[in-house]
Amino acid sequence: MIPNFENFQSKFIEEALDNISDLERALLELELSPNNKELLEQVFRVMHSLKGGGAMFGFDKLSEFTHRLENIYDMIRSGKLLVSQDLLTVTLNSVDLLRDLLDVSQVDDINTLQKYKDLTFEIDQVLQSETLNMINSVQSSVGNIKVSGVENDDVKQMTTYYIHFYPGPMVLKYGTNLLYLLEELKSLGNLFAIPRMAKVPDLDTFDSDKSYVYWDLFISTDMGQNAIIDVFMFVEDESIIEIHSIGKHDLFKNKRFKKRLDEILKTSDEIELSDFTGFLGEEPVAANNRENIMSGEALNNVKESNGKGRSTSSIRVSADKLDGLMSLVSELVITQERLNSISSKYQIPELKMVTETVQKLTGNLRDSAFSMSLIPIENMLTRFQRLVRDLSGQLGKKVRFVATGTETELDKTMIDSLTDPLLHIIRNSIDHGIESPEIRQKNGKSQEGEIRLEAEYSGANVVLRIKDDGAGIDPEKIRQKAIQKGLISDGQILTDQELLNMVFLAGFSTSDQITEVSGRGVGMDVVSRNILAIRGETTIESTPGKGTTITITLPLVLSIIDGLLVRIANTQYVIPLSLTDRIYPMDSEKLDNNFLNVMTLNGIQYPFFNLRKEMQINGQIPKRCQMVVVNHSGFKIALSVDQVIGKIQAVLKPLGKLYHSQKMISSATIMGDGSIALVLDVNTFIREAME
Amino acid sequence: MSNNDANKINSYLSFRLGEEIFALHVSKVHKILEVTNITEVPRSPDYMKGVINLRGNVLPVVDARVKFGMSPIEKTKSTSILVTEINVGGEDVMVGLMVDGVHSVLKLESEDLLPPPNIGNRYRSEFISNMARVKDKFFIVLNIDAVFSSEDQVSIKELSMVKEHVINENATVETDPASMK
Repeated sequence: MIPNFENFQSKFIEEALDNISDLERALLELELSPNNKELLEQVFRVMHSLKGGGAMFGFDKLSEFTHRLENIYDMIRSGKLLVSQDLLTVTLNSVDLLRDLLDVSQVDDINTLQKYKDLTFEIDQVLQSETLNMINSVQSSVGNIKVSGVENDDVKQMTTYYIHFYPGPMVLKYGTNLLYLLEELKSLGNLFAIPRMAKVPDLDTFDSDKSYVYWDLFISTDMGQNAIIDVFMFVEDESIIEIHSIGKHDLFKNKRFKKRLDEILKTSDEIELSDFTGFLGEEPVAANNRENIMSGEALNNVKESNGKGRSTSSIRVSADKLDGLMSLVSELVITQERLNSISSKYQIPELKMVTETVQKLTGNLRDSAFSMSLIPIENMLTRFQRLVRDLSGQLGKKVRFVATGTETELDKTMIDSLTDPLLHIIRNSIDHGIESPEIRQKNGKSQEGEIRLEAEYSGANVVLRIKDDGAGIDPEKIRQKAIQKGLISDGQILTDQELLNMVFLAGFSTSDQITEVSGRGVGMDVVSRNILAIRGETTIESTPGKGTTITITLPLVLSIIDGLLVRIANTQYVIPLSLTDRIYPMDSEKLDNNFLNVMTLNGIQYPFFNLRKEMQINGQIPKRCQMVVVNHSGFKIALSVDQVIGKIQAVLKPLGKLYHSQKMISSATIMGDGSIALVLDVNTFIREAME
Repeated sequence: MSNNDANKINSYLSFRLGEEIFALHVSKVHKILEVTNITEVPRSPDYMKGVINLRGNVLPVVDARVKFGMSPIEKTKSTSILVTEINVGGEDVMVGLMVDGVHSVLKLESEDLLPPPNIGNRYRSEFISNMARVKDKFFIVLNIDAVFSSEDQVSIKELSMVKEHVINENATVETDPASMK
């Protein structure tokens, strides 16, 4: 690949999107623990890198916008602002905008621009109002001098301070020589002064009576903070002075610190306190925590600066490369099967040994290649949390979102096609399931509803459950609706479960009102269809008044399975090994003379299906056949086949679009000898056979 | 797509279904195979003959005769499978088209190609991409995408009638300029 600007740009976009996702997650967590400094730092860090990267790669709008956000979070971080609900809402909305701003096709879109304008306005307002608050609170305490960091005046100890000194324009009028002031400061200890000329105007507008320069000062002194405040005594009314303690010892002895100072001097960047948090002996602590600190803890634990502690435990690989690897492994598996058949044909001991070793290696390689494309479902959660937060606020409901088993991994393609159905289910739960706080209280529930996402492994499947403790679905309501829509007749008797399952039918929506959120009647049927497309299954349970649970069962991997190879007439079929339980021999006659479709095998009664009959396969029926017992949603069901051939690794190949109506055969696989075996979708087969 | 490039090539592959000759643009045909073992897929439409192994991939095979409303193919020496690339619902898929025999590759200049006849709603002419005239003989250049986008059978009788219509029309009047694009 030629490293050109476009490449870097697309890399930046990719990384920025990741960063934005991190940001979103951090913001949602921040809402739960607003005082978490680490999260604040993370938020700030992301914004900072978005700002920088954005400017570098030509995303000026993005950079400009994040700069505003960064300002806000800088103020929060330095304790000038508190994390408020409003602020988080604005920021989360901004996160969406940030994504749009990264999309080249959208950045000049009229809607985007409007959104940009609106949000900038909101942000400015927040900034303004909070700045006012800040000024008020500061004036009521120590004039214009804002002090952060905790000071213990009794112990005269070497401390390094950062002072932001912004003289008011009128200071010179009163005859103060600012340079003397700095001289005086210098007498207290080591001083490093960075003059800032940014505000100095052009010569024509220059007023020699006014002060334009401001300073960023670093001083290490053992005289205590009050001594510094005293220096500024005559200018403090006019000026803005911030004093931060950034280290409980002489930082000028620290080489890294000095280097940093030199850098700042050169670049004339705005100073961000975060640049020095690495040197902070302690996090800046709010005043009410003063006692704790004064009781004296280890003061000199200088932390490593951010970023250095993070090691690279993962690398980024493009999805194309993974897909490439996967198809290579698939071909290897097919070739392996061919080797197996050759080896068993010639029965050479040496060949057999090698074949077995290669087989084992292939199996391991297959497993580890697959594990690479597995992603924990945790990655989807941010979107759900966001949905719950936004939507419940919009609908005036209180909803808590809890996720368990988030480490459960699924194939990345599955994760992709799962997100939308899950979003839809959660949306339904908030809109129709969870009641308003008043109703919940009246019904003796806690005001806050709960939506749980539970994920777990179950055999060769992953089971996802979305539970809400809302109103549940009234089967009677479904019945009425179904009659009204002509789906069932008036007198038709259906069990509650059968009624519930009707929500999966197309064009069915139980909500009385069609809301903006959900209930357009294109809901659950689309969900279940999308899940079916990735060979999953959707079921629903609901208790009126107690809540609804929707369960999604998915296969672990999509493209290679261990299978049981069987034969019916001349065609070979594969039954997923994960579903098979036992195999019994049987006389074919017994199948035909059985009207109950129940077979007793080894003393246990199984319902059974004759595959030959269900598949409408004609031809000579062999005298003896075999019964394969499979698991189907908790039941054991026997399937009759002509002959069980053996175990096989099946690389699943789709049958293609022309066979889309064929649901019982999910795919095909190429055998070692080049022939084709059809892979039976056991669940669909049994479901269809039962109807 | 390289449609422009493909369109510059004026070669067509003609094949036989029963007595009727059809043609496909060569860009649609990837290769021609002899009939090998076809694995039948149970409970699928009649015209779906089954699947074969095409270099490690599964290729569905269609009995073109059945799709065109004729009796199923009886395998002879000339029976072949045309591996064609078709577009179904915006997606390119490979399909094996089993035909009675492959005829020849024809070069057709644009003046040999007539637009599909517009004869109202009586016949479904969407399956016809062009009518081709070679030495006063007419045959149908198929719109293979349309053929496979439809679940229904394509009626060979209908197609024959459309062809007759074109023959008659061209026998009396020289191509009506109004029906040209």
